[in-house]
Amino acid sequence: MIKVNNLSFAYDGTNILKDVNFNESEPVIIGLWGRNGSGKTTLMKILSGLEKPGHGTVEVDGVTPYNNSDAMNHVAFMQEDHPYSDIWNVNDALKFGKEFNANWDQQLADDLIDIFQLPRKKKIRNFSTGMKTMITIAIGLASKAPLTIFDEPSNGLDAHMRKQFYEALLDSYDEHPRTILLSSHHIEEVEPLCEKIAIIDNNTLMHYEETEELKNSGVHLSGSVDAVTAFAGSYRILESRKLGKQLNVMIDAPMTDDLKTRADQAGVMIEKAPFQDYLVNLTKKEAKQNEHA
Amino acid sequence: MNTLKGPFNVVNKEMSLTFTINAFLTIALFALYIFLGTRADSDTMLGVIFGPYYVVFAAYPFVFFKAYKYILALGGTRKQFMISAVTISLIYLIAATILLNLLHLIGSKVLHNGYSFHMANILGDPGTAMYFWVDFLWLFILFGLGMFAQAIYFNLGAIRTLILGGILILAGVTIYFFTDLTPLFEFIVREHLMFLHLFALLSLILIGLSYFMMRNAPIEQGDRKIFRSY
Repeated sequence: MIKVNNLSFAYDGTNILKDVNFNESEPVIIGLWGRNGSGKTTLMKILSGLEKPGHGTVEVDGVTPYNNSDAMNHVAFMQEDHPYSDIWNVNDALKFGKEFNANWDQQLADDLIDIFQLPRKKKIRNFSTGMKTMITIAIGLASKAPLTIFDEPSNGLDAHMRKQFYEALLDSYDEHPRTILLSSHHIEEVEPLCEKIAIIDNNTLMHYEETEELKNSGVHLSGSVDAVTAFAGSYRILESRKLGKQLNVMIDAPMTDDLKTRADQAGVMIEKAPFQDYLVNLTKKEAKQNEHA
Repeated sequence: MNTLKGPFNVVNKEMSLTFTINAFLTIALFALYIFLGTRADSDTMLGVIFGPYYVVFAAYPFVFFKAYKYILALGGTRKQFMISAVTISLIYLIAATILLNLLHLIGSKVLHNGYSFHMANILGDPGTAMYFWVDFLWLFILFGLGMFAQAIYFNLGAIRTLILGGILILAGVTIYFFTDLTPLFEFIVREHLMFLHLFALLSLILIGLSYFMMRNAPIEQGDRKIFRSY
């Protein structure tokens, strides 16, 4: 489905992506997470054929996407600020969506327009941010492309519409399994939908793992300075905060029964760190410096 | 699935409104000349009806280039954009030629006093087919020049295009002052049809160069790097 080998991309002499390797052969919903400027958008552009790889190879559903007219039947990339002409209305956007996607599901597109209550004849340029996101979601899901990429798909959606989107995405995926890549700054928003998480940091794909495995990582320890220091000694410390005689640390370790038992025995309080906090700490510069030290 | 159907329709959507507005404008001009013809002296040149279309075909690339990002965003390619843009433009070009010359033919029957100028009049009194051909060639020339200018502007951005334009103007002025251009002007007048064909050939080459510039064009306007390093 997706084969990325030794992918590198530079712009103005600056590495945006470096030695990215990524293989996925099964239909799966993937969450793509990375901090600002990590290279997420560039990776999505390369996967969709918008940008040409500097080095390495990219293959999506058996085709090389860049400048390949056949790729439009294999990959759909719905951008965060997806461009629509000033003269298009919803019907125009759906018509073009149909003409660009061999697997287009008109019924699903019509259903989503009804669910999102989008006015079909109103010009898209007059839509709010949330409404533009909804038409983008409708086109992306109805494309049923073997690889469908959504960049910040819940941008501007209220809680109700977000729920509608998640349900529509899962229903559509159940009915027609395919690879769906969801990029978001807020991993907790998309994580419940994703079977796997890809983390981009330091211009490369740092982690590509099952969501459950990755989600279980990141543990907060708190207690006396001596007890916590002794307990955390062998683990990679992602964050450390001293409050008087108390020390709070986040370690890069999976939350297991064994770890809990040992923490109890050592007199250290232990709890699972929020997933987003874990990822932020995992990718911050200090963590890298510790790692290199 | 025909992979060009979508790109054709996206480009057509961007161009059709401008074409229709210009058709109405041309017909309105024609109606005005018919009215003026009832009050003019014989052999008075009333004006031209080709003006709106000649202007719009030079400017068309600046209109339909918006379709570039829509086509890419829908999954199309740069090559599909260029093939669609040139093909749809040629269809509109033929439609504009037919409309202009049908109006000109009607005008020649209806106008008893005065006449509207046609670019083929420079050739004397050529046959009907030549009227069509001359308009086609001029529209094609103007389209090619506009296409090349827009392809440069899109790739290099405003500042680099202005610098390039400034250099060309300086070179043009220098040539004008230091070279005897009389033979060129004489050639344009005396061998006007040959001049038109050569100019159209140049336009065809410029369209070809535009294709090569756009087939790997950047996503955003002005982002073309002359030298790349990976």
